[in-house]
Amino acid sequence: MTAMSRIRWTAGLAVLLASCAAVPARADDCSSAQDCGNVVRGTGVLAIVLAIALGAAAVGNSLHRSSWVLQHLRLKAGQPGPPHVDLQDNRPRGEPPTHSVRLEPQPVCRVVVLDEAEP
Amino acid sequence: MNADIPDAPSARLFLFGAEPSVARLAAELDDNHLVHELGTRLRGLSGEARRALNEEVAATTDRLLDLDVGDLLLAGWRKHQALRAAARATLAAADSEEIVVLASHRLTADHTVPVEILIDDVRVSTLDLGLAAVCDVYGLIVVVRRGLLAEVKSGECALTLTLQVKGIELARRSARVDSRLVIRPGAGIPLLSDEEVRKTFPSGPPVDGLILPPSSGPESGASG
Repeated sequence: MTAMSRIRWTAGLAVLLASCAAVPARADDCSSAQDCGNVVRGTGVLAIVLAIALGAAAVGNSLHRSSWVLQHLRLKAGQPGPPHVDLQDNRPRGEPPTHSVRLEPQPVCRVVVLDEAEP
Repeated sequence: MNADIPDAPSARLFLFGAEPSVARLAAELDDNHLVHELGTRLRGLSGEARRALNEEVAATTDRLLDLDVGDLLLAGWRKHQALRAAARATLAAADSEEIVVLASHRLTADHTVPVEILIDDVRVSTLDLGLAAVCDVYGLIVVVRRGLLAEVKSGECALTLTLQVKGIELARRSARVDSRLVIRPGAGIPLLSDEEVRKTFPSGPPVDGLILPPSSGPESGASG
């Protein structure tokens, strides 16, 4: 029996037991105020039990469905290709075009002569 | 344009900031009825099962957002003729450097990842996750040394990122970012591939590798 079926059986049984216990007699048969009070209380208890059972069944149902997805469904990401890239000139009027400045050290060509001089 | 942002290292941070991105993506997928786009076999899923599927797709999509925004921009700048020329010239003369002032340009980059949806290892649908960047670049000045992008001196990008799944736009954001924060050259970013270096210098690269010690000099003077 699956978890879902167990929840449904439990909910059904709870509703049945609550019905038997909470409705001792029809309202017409009330011979005293106490009997009428029992009918009202029983109906209230029945409504509460029914609401709890339905809530449990709904939660169980959703858990079951989402766990089915997690067990059976899988996503497999492929290898991304290289990005498709494009460049466009977007120069406003008057802006100079792309340019570059090159800095390159040059070897020293000068001949440096140090003369000694008498003071 | 949205308010300026100080930094944009990943697409996730740019699009969502500190907000939990998976939850937001799953909600967007649910709102846009992704399941209806995935073929008849997945249309019958119940509400909870559909939400679980959307969360799986959202988690996979979120991994795409690890992508560095700077890498998308660099993929474009590696195609820029002026930067490529500077890279070749500075490789040929190792002690030289070029300061390149790039005119305003628009850079577009589309990054797509195909994803298969499998039920019990049987493919039932495919979808493409797409991240598109459009960047208007102004006032970019960079320094190129030894074939590497060595420094970003200045520059501003008006960047728009759009995230799509199966044609559904999940997120979009525009903001101005400082290029110096998006691109961090560190020890230098190669502007030419190894293969391009080999083609440019058929007799062997003028220097050993792209990153050289400062004292190394060129062994041959190939074209720049």
